[in-house]
Amino acid sequence: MKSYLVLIIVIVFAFLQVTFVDYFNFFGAKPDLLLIAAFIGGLSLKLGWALGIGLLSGILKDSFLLNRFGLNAALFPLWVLLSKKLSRRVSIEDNLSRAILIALISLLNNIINGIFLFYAGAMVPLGIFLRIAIISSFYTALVSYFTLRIIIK
Amino acid sequence: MFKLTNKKLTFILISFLFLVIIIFSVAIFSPPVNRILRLPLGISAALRREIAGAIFYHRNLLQNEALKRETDFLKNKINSLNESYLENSRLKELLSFKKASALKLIAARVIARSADSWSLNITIDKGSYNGIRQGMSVITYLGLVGRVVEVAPSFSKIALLSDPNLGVSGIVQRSRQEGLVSGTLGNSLIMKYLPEETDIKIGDTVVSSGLDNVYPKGVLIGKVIEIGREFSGLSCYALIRPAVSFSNLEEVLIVVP
Repeated sequence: MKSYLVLIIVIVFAFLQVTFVDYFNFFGAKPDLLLIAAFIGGLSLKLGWALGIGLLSGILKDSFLLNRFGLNAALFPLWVLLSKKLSRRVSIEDNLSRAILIALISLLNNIINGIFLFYAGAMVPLGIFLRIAIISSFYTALVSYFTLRIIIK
Repeated sequence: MFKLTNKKLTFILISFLFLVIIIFSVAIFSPPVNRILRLPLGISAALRREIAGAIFYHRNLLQNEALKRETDFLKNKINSLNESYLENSRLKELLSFKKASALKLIAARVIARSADSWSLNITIDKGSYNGIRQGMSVITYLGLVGRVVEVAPSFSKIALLSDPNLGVSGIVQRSRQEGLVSGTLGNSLIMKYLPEETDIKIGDTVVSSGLDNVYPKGVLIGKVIEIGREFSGLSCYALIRPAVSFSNLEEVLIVVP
């Protein structure tokens, strides 16, 4: 896939993330389209470009959050790097295994975000913490499965 | 064994430094990104409203009829309350009470929402050019919404009451019991630090106390739906169903102090 196409996907997904996705939230959890966009970049571009796409996705996500620290801007390139390294060792050629990998990455991302929130002084009940972390991760994986089917033939 | 060559060490150090720079530089990236996306987001918000209007035409028609009936009823109620208000004003004047000034409000439209499930915030299409300042409280006609936390010239970010980072001093309307109301990321709010023998019942109305000097006094927060004891056993908490539906916000009012 061409790098400019991935760039367009990132911008479109960023748009959808802050406008329409909220209407599809399930028990307070919503899919992370920007993580999916970063993952698509990681799958289809060379390492340098993929890291750039990951960084851009992270910055876009952090721009619409309240925390002043760019946690996602730092994490997204790491997830891209991880998926790139992993794809060299394990076959992730089909969309199901890709969706499973996204679920794991999303879960890790959510847990780190939740812990960061906790250390920032916010008290989130354990039930809600787990609900958001788990549902959001699987929701992201489910959306990614259908997105990848459409985007990556 | 694990070998760390000079080249690897330099690479790790540079990567670490790069990550630290990224983490702390997002505050610089955020305003231009929001500024660039403000216009397309505004257009998309308008488009979304129009599409929703067309899709939910029948529901809106029925809702409109119901609202018209409610408006007539409320007009009637306002007329009778007006009499009481005038009487109240006269009596207050007689008692030399200080008059509470009416709230000055700025209306704004919601153009974007939080990008993840861990923070609940909205972006509005008004900023410092329109007189909005950080820390101003945000309401709708239904009740309290949150507080302005970031202001740029043409847009602002508002932390919603359901965000766990935000706290508001609340008071139970019936018993005047005070407590700290904050978000839980879920559908309900939590009123914490209530004494063990607290006078609070399910169905009680909670309003802002105005003691924090941030939110105006008497703005509706919600109704108590559950009362429980904190894990420590020293105090109680109450779960509150917010008066405002945070997921359907389209327009908000910013209170100018």
